Amino acid sequence: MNKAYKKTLLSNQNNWIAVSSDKSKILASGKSIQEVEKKLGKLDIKDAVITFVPPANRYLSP
Amino acid sequence: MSLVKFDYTPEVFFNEKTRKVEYIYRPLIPIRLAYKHSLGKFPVNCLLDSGADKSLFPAQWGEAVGIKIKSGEEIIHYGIGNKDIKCFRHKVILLVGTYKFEAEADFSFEQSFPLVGRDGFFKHFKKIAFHEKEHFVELEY
Repeated sequence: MNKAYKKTLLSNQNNWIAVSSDKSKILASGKSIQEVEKKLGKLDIKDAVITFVPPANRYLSP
Repeated sequence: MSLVKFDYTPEVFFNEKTRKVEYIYRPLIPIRLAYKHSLGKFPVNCLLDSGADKSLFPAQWGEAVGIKIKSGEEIIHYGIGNKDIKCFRHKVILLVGTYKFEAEADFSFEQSFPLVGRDGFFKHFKKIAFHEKEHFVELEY
């Protein structure tokens, strides 16, 4: 994970992001899954994984 | 026998004590959600949660494939911090790679992070092995 990727993750806490399938790039972000899907559609991207970015200063204990 | 392997996903964690950003590796796996004739456009990462009885998804994910969330059976989930979460149960199709199966999933407007639990996900696999040191998980079906 490079610095730019890490920075983008930090700036998208509590948002949804789309990551390239090799996990090297963040392709889109938004407040909801639907918003991210729309952005990917506009960019004509067909291969991505959508993921929620939890707060970085919290442990995850669901 | 078929086997699929997923590397853990590195996510950022801000350590308050050291004031440094670290990585935390989580067992997330990409799952596509389908409902009736509607298939989700992209897979969504879900946390493999062996401590969860059921799968719990954010309502917005279900809405994205056309589920009328509140039409489902109302269910209460009980979680960390002794909190109850109101959910609605629906029968959906889950796709993990090329493996496809019907499962029950509970959707909540109070849940952000999608997680898959034992009944509804784990039971559809012969074996799920967490490799904590090597940061990967293997699912056999």
